[in-house]
Amino acid sequence: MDAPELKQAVETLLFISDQPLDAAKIAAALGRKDKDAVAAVVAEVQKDYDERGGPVRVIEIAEGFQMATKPEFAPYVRNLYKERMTMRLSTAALETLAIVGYRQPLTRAEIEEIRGVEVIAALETLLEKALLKVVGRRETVGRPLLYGTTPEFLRHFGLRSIADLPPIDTFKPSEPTEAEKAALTEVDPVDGEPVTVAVEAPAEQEIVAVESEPAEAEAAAETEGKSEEA
Amino acid sequence: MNAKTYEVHLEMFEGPLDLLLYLIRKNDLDIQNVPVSKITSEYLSYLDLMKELNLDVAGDFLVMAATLMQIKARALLPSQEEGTGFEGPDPRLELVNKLQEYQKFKEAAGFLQKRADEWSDVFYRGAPTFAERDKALNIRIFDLLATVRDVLDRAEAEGRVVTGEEYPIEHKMDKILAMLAEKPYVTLREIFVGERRRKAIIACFLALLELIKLQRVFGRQEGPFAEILIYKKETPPEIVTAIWPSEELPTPSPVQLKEEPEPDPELPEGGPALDRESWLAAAPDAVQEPEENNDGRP
Repeated sequence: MDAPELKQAVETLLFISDQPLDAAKIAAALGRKDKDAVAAVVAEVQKDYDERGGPVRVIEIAEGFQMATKPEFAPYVRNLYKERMTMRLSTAALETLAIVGYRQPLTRAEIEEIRGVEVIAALETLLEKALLKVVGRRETVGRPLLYGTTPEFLRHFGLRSIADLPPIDTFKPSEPTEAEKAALTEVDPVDGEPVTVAVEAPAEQEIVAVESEPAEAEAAAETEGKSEEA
Repeated sequence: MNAKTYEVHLEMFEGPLDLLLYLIRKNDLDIQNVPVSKITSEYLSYLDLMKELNLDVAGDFLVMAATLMQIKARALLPSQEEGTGFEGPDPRLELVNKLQEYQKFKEAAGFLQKRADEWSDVFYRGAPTFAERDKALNIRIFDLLATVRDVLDRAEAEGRVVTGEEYPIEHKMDKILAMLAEKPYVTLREIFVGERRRKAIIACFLALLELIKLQRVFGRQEGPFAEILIYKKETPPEIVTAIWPSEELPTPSPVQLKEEPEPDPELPEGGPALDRESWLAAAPDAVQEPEENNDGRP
């Protein structure tokens, strides 16, 4: 296989794959042992796509590479797949994901210890959506199941690997959400007066940005730009 | 007012810790030095309100109420001499630690939400999926039987006799599912690996048919005489093995055992039915495929 053909083969695999491919997987599919050389070709293909400036990019995501559409064309994709539901996660689900993301592998009881409330329902949903998976059992009494995150978890949150999560100690308290305020303002049983809380800058902006590929950063910026317009 | 006419499930507070954090933020309190008596009375009044609104107050909320009151009572007791070491773990400190920890994860959850929103406009290819018709049992029944015949012949060759053993089909079903838990498909032959006795092999085969009937697995064959492959159906009764999700989970379709136009007259009524006894009786003779199918696969 000469160089141009190799590059096209790599591009083909990236095109057809429904999940992120790492160099090892691509090399295996091509029947090659030189993983590093393949990784270099992947980088070339990625660069080609970036330079071409087309609507599809090769991004590094979930411990591999995958073709992805650009955010600015999202509305049309949504139109095309109107009937498909977008995955919307509840607060309970997100908290559970955060806990597992940082503390994995851990048992259900350990998640509940942190959340102070049972998580069975949320956990089941997350397993079903393949954002979490069972990774083993703890060798203690009852051999409880241990949970961990999946590649889909990484992809859903736009992470290259679990190490992309900012350190847990970077998170600081935030103000009550608008929903919380609205819901409780009228019925504050304690002082009988509407509750008002000084609104400061949303805590999200304090959060250390995840170190991103230039392409990803661009994507994030584009998305942010759009949400501000909205 | 009619009590219990309706129930409301409010998901706003994810639990007692969430409610406590809310109260702390609302009153602009320092989490390290929460005035327990003030926060306890607020907490209890919210609990009353929730009950009044017919909200489903989970037991966790009541446990927290007890903890708060314990801390409060402890604070009211005359303080013991310092350093006596009688105190054991300080429930107040424990609560503060838990609150702080939970708060971090709550923020982390918010961060994840933000990331998910940012990335919700990025789309990937869907999986190349099998069309629904491919998931039917499109195997030539003769190839199916030929494989079993072949495996059975080998069994004779090894011929060790252990009597008085039972081969429950359920066990074999478990075995097949366990094989499929590790890889996306197995060959039909692999299913019989490790089975020595005719009855065990037949039980295995019946287990396979049963799994196909239950739509837990399906078989495919690339062409006549090709190796028969057994795949697991992706609708997961076992979420434990979290497969990479395809864009659309296939809805199970009725799998029909498509028989050849000219069914083998020696087959028991209704094709490969799951009547074990008649099968056991009929098996040795029912399979009369020409030798040509023994194309010597490993």
